Amino acid sequence: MAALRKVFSAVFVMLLLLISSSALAGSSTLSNGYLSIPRIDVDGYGSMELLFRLEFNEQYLLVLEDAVETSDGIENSGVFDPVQQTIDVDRVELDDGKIYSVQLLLIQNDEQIIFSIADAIHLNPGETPSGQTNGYEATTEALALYGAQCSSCHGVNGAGLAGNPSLIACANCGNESALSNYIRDTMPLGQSASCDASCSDVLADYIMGAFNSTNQQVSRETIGFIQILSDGETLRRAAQQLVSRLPALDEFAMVSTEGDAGMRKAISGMMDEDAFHLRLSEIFNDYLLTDKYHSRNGSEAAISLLSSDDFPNRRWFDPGKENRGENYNAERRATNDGVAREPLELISHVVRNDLPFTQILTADYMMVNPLSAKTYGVEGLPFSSPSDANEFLPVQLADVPHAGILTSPMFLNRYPTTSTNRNRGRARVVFDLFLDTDVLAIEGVRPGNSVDITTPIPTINNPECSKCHSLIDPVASVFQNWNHKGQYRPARLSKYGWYTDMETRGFNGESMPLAGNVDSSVQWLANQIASDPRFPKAVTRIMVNGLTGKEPLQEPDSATGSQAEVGAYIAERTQLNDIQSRFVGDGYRLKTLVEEIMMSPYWQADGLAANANAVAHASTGSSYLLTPEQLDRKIVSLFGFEWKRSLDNYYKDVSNSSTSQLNKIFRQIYGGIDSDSVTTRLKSPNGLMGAMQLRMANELACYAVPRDFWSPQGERELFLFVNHDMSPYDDSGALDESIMTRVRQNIQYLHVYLLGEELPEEAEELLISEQLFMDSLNRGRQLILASGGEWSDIALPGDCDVTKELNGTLLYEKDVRDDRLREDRQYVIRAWMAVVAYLLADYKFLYS
Amino acid sequence: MYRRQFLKYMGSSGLGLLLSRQSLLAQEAVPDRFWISVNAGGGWDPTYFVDPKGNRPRLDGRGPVNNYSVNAIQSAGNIRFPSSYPEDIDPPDANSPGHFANFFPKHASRLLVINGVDTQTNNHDSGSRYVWSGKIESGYPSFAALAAATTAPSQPLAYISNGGYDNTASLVAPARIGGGDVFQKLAHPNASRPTADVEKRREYFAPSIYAGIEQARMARLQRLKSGSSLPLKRSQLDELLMSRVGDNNLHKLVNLLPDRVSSGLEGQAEVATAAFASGVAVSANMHMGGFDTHGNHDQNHSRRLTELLEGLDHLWAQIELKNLQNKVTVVVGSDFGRTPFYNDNNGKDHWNVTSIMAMGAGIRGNRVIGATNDHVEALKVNPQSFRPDPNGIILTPEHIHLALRRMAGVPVQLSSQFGISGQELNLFS
Repeated sequence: MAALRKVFSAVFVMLLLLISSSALAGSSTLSNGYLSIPRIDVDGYGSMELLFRLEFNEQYLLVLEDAVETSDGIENSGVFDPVQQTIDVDRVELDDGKIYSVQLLLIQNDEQIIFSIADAIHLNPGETPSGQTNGYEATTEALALYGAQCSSCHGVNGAGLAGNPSLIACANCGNESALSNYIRDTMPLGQSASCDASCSDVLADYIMGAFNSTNQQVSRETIGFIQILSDGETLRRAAQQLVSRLPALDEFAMVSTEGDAGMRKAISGMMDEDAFHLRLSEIFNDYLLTDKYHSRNGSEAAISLLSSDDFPNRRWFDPGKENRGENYNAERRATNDGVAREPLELISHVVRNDLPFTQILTADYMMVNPLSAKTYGVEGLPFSSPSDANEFLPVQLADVPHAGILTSPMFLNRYPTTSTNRNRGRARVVFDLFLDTDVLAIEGVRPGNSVDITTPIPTINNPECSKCHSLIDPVASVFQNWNHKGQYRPARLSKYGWYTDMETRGFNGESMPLAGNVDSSVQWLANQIASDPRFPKAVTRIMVNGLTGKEPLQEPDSATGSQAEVGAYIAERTQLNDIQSRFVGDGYRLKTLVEEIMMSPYWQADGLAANANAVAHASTGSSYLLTPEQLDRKIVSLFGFEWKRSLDNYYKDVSNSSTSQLNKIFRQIYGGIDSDSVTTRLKSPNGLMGAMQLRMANELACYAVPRDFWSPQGERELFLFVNHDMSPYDDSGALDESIMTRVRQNIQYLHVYLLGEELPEEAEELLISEQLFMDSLNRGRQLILASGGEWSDIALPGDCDVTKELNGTLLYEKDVRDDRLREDRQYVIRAWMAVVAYLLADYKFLYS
Repeated sequence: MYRRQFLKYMGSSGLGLLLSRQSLLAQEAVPDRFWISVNAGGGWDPTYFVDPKGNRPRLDGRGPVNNYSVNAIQSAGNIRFPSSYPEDIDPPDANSPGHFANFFPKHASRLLVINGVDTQTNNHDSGSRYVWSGKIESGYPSFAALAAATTAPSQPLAYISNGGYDNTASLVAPARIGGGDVFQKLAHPNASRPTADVEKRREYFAPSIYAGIEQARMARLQRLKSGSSLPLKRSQLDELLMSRVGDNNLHKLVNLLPDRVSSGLEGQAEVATAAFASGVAVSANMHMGGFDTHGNHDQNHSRRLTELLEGLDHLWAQIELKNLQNKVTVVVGSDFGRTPFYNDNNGKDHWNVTSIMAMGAGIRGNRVIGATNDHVEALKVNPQSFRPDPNGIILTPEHIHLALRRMAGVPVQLSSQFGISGQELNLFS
């Protein structure tokens, strides 16, 4: 090796390297940090195989590790340029299947021969299944029809052209018949009459055969590498995500005895709980953002959006400044939130009653609670209590053509309009949220880069503009009866009517029939969307994000996406298409969608087989950083209290939301949103969030551990096997094995209770936790010994001791009683605090 | 041309996320230019201080614009202001740094006043949005967010917001910090009373024990990562490990805070300047409300303005203390202005014409540009001299923001993504 290195070094110095540029290129590989080049011919030395080690030192460097003789039978792999001192490596194959042509530049040639990477060019883009027909033989008629009707948008190979969707694993590609119907009814956009039923049958057959015949196979193969969670872990994750609690014993039993059917039953039961509906609201609010008007952002943030002309009783709770009673503020906020949460409550109502989820758009009613009902001037609804702000009932306002969320004053105000915008903003949101279509991704020139002031009506007559506007303007026009304040004001009754220099009302290239729809056009639109196959896809996208912390994979760029990336997309999309089909097939029942997502291997993934392609599974799995709201609820479910201040002060803080660390002080620092200007959650922890996790773990350990020890055995959550006076050392200083057994049992239990980690007695993780317990105990005892038993070393830290009951009752009365827990002479309590603080900062505690 | 993608692959192909993160961080320069937006929430009355009109009765019989004497209007350099307050209110303490007679002489040389800015609205939401983003439509980032995104988009504290219009359009993650306590808490996670003096600070765990816990936590995360075959989980554990490495800048920031962080604007100023000096932040929103004085305008507005000017005075003192006067630009504004007459409650309602103040790096001070007439209607001004010119232009927030974006070096790509149409004017220098 040394001799060859010397020779090779000399070769570079003497510029003796000669490469036959006419030879066919062989493939080099970059894998596990090494670049292997199979053959370079060196004049006078023969053929050599080179091995470079990849290093990083401000930039990526390739250090020559080995150069060995190789046979002439192997193809040449590159070209050496003696003047530029570069090697052009023709093909470098990466683990993920991508192929690059790479140019290396010699930057050091002494003891080590080192190259940098001067350039890299991607080769053979888009070698994907999309380009293959997989044995499918297309008819001449199909090819001709596809070429004439489809390829200008979807591309010859079905992979889609910029801004237009791919047909590979497309939303409608799960079922040929449904695909045919969809084509017949809507395609080509705006010219659906040009493709009748027979045309659409031929095209559906072609699209399924040419572009989708291998989807199921790709999906099966990809999913086959996924190792899934145990039943217990799956159940725990489901309970945590859906209802922020631990699974109940009967749920464990159900799963244990009935397997998958039991799991479905348990999940289904969780979805009947109020906690699920709270989570559902969060999931949808992350998209709708109507909580902008929640009283957190202003006591009357929602009420103030309602016109007193329309709703003269909107501030019914205010008898005038002088006459306000003690309930004034509570009623004001509850009323506001009844108004603000109306669209989210509609979603909850639809799901709770197993109604078709399309009703979130088609409902000809809105939701009110007893307080917001008064604001809207509604009387006589059968509420079970006149003051229960959590009870919502449907209601129809007189002369208002409701269309679910689309006509909610909150939705319309959250996405307002202006005289120049003309509801286009609303249309964009409708496409995005309910049709999973990003109209801004459609190609075309937009103001900011260029403004067309010469075409009479650019949005109709300038092709650059109409590409997008022909899609959104008809939908924007549909909203013409709802003004910028979200009030129902039919355009035909206004002085100037609706704009004439704009596309008329319609959807998907179809004009809205005026008969019966003139004043209720949004209802017509809602029904159109409800029957569009993109609607279930859009709902699936939202729910997948809510249950896995990330949206479904985007289709890889057809030019640069690797085969592995395309395969990952096809596999996941095919799974989701199946899931969507079951959702639609079950009458758009959202609970079915949730169940199906949670039963899928993607959601239950725990690991990969050793030979799996990591790139194809880069985002497989459903663990995500818990939101501040979820983490807050998890703490409550495990400890019985919120993370506020010390528990001695909890009675003061219990109803004071401003003392909530996760819902107030750290809410936005920990990635939360206010639905107003901060609308995107942080999903990866930054330094501040990492620091907050440590503080939370330390504080909670301090609050919870002494309190739990202080509580009677039957009321404890954390310490079922030990007491605070159970030191592992006996009076003589020897280890008491009977106590140690209890310590080990409790550590094992804490791993299950706090982390959901079921470990056998001999597990290394339990030994490590035990070691931490003992180390902390021993160090603490030494500190006490060293100080001669100073009170400051014996006493628990001030915020951790227990001097009051949770309701504020003092535990000490002079000469009467002293039930406080303040001392820790054996350092046992603090050693347990150390173990709990260690576990609470763990990945398994912080991530779903 | 695919070098970047190729390198990206190598960074994630088993070579360790750490390397790629280091290289990413290396590309992000340590900020050395800083921006502060100070928002007077509710709509201030420029005629009360920087665009003074005095108590001369209006010709249309709607009374005076202000209740202080015309004769009280003075100048400090070129900055005009009333040196006294209306007679029927409790004036601020004569020694207050927020008293007009103290503030303007002290700061006039560095102060730029832009009068006659037409916000074209009297709605709080749209006014605030327009003044701080340069667009009346929703969805545009505040200038401070754009500035942060220009320099250090991945710094967790690049953009500190204390409220007001702080839309980021998801360009940066805004850090909404309630007060200095939050930093103390995060910088000292083992301290039970992090804001107490060091000698009185108690810890949850003795230092030697806490070191053991910390070590155990990191080792556990490493073990979980090594034991996981799921790429998603491994990358999440990588991120978690990175977030725990310890942020020295956070400690630096805390060390630069006063022992007791003040309340209100002054506290916001202390945190913002400490964050600048420690290199973790690029921009900050300071915010105070209370300017929506529909009733008892003179008294209430006087108190708010005093508080605002005291805050600005303190801000400048902090900037000088940290030797940042050549690096920090301060812009002060409000939703809109207030009516040039009083309502029946001695209050003033919303008015679309307002003023902007600026000081600090890049600002040529001792100037008043733009103008209003006696009825506080915006006058057209010459786009070079900014003096009244019937053939000139009306200044709007678009002009302010185009000039700010240029001063901050906001890249064309970013600027055009959130395009503002209008004429670029040399307003600040």
